[in-house]
Amino acid sequence: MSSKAVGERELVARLRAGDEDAFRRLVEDLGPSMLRVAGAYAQDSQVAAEIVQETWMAVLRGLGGFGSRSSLRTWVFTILGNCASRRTKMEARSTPLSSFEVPGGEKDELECFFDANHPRWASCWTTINTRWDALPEDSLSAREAEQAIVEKLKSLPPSQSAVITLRDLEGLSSDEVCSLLGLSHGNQRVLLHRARLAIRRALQEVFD
Amino acid sequence: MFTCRQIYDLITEYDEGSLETGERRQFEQHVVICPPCRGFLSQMRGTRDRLGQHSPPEFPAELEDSIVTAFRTWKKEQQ
Ligand SMILES: [Zn+2]
Repeated sequence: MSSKAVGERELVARLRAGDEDAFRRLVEDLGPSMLRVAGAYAQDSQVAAEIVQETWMAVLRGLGGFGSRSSLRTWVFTILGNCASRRTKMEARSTPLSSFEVPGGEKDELECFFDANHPRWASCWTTINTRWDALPEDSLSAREAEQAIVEKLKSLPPSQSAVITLRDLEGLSSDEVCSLLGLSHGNQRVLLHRARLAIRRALQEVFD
Repeated sequence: MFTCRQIYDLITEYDEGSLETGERRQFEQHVVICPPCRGFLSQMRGTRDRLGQHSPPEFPAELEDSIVTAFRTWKKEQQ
């Protein structure tokens, strides 16, 4: 058993024994990420906070039966995913995450390509600014980029926002995200692709 | 040989390692000779990397307190 797994077993034992300091540290450790993921589902900060609260209640109820087959973090996030999809199904204005039909293509981006029938440049880029990825990280452009990311994440369809938050912001693997969201690998890739394209476009507007 | 449009559509599949060997080779052959697509590839990776550096929101103290309160209640029920 790895030292991390040993540490985790000790932590679980402390939590079961009612060690409040250990619990608070765990909440401080996982809480911000949980809030961000909940926000990707709910897109309303009050609802996101409620999802996180409900998740911790469920974690406490389930603690006695927690086995060590998954890491504590993965287990907590699975519970978070369940709470969030149950909750967002009840919210009339959010799209239920189970109806993962893939929305239409990103039409605004098609203008970047010559027509497929163009005699010389069929399906080639018309214009692309390839400079911005090499721009220096001065604090102004970094702040603007940060702001653009935050705003774009909020405006993505919930399914895309959930996938890109878990994959690219939280660093979960595609297997973890598929099982958490009940997605096929193919659908997960499509949603990730659309979301990354949208964020890239938002960043491009900052740097153009 | 893939077109730029196809590179645009397949880029995430490429980065996720889900293209078949033949498609993967075609993808790489295109990117090697096409500066705009090379730029696009590096932008998509730059986007992913930037997202990885993005810090989570601040965790509200009231929320933490109310979770810890729930913990105390749970602890009492356990005894
Ligand atoms: Zn190209």
